[in-house]
Amino acid sequence: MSRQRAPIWQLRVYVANWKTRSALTVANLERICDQSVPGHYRIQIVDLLKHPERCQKDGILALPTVVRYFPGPERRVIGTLSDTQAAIAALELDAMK
Amino acid sequence: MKRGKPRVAALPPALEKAPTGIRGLDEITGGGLPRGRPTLVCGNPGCGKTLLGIEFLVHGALDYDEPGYFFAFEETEEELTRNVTSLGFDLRRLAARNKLRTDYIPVERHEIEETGEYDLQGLFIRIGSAIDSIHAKRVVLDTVEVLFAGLTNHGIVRAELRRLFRFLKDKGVTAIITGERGKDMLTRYGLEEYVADCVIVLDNRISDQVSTRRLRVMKYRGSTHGSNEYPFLITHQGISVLPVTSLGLNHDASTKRISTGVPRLDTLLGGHGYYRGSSVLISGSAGTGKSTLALAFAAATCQRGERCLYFAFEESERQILRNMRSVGLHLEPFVKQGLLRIHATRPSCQGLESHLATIHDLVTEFKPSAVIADPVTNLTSVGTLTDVKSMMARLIDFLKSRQISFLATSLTAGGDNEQQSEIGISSLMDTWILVRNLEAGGERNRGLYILKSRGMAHSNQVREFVLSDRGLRLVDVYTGQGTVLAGSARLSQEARDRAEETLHRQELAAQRAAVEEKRAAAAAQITALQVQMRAAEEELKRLEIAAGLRERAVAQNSADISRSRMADKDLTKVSGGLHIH
Repeated sequence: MSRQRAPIWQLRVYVANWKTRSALTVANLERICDQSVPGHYRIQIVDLLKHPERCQKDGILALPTVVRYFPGPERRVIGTLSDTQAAIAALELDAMK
Repeated sequence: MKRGKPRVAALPPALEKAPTGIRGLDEITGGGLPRGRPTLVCGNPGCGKTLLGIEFLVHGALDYDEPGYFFAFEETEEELTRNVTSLGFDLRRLAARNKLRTDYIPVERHEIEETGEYDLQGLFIRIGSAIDSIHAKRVVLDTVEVLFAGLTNHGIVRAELRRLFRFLKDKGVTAIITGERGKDMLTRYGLEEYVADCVIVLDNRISDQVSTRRLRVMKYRGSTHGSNEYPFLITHQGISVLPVTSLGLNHDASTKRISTGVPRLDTLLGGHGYYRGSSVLISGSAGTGKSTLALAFAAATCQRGERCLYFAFEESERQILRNMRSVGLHLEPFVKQGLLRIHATRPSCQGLESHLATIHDLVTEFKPSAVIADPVTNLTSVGTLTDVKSMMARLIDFLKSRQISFLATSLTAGGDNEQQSEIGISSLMDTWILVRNLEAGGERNRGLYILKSRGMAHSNQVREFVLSDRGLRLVDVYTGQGTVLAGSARLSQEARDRAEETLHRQELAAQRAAVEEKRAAAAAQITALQVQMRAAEEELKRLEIAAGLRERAVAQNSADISRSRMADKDLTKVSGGLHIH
């Protein structure tokens, strides 16, 4: 029952160019999500070089930045998510478990 | 290379500078901030860093056609706009014309988790696209240090800041980076390490309950700069740095002379008065007539149709006008004509630098040909002697550079050190007139003399300075009999002298009369004798005639006798009778 009510986690990864670090971050995020909320997440990638206005709009300074914007409240983490546990805690992906 | 070509041409071009448009700062830096490079402006909170940045951009946008972008890390755009409106900067209007934009970049303090590597490319993209959007030539980052508070990995922040400054240089923008003053370092996070071209330190110190802001150019690579601490002000027109106007002493020296307002004083000063654009100090103890002399100068200035600005630190305008009427100086017409402006303030109501700024502002606005400060010694109530002296130096310099004559009065404590001008400013002045009390015979009189007057043959004599309802006059003091007398002592001595003189004259006349009489008597005698002589001569003549007659008569008689004795001879002759001649 509770599974059906579980939301689809919406995540966004801000990068500049598709570099090794960007790829690493997305790979890390996918791994964490598969581990925490398998099948219930969606990852959007925003390349700020293509959308520079979003730096201001979304308040992004450091890259990469990962934002869990749904469900609210918004959670952010910066870096390549190399520390899985820390990333899970920061994005509160463990909240629904 | 051709012979005789100046060597200078072979040198690389001088460092290009971007003028800040901030009064005084461009003079200290020799033209502005290094163009196309970042400059670090650091100081404690509230010292005016943000304002300096804003003004740099506003002047750039308005005066130098260089659009600017302000990146605020601490204040929102609204706050910033509101804060500088009071200084007359309309950021909204400038933003609408794409001349000056602001961007608030919030950095949450340690709210964002960090895991793994990252950089600040997002900030770079944001700044870069903002600069490109209005083709900004000037940029302010206020204060990037908050990044240290927002991010835990300071190693990354440092590396990124270094990259940021390089990025700004590559963009070719002239940038101001602000930083908070640190304990042992210039800035809390050592930003000076990365911004090596130009460092300006702002400071706000309080001494004797008066706060003074100071600015110092600590470093300026590839350029000479004034290295002193220069006081600066935040006025309603923004920042105003008050350097000694030029780093050298190179004002023009006028040879034109202007009247002091007291004819005899002009005479003492080589016959023509003060030099135009020179500085004059009138010092003396209380009640010696310093203000009156100053106002006589003011009146003379106005009479020539020139404007005079009078800073009164002791009396109100009405009081001054009334008092001057009593010595025959009518200043109201000049005030009405707009030639004389009296600015009366209490010294203690603002700090020294504010006073100086007020003077600057009023001089710039009123454009006087003479400025009077009466008395400058009152300023010591708001600053130390050194401060006052430094302020005076800057004021004199400012006025000289504009060929404005300056007259200051200085109150001395009296006693032995009358020549010790209280705030030690005499060395800054070109002409120094001392008014002192001459006390003798139970009264006090004013003596005036010129202690120095550069560049003119001036009298070394003491004059008595007389204030009366007919105006102010200088009269010769009594210098006979080896003493100097003034006032009624002078008058009575002069009266005594006059009496003696009269007596002497009378005696002389009497003597002359007596001699005259003698001469007249002699003359009379001569006349009488001449009469006698003439009478005697007459007598003599008569006697001689009588004598002649008798001789002839005698001769006649003897002829008669002889004739009678020889009657037959020549008888006819006798018949005619006797003829006596």
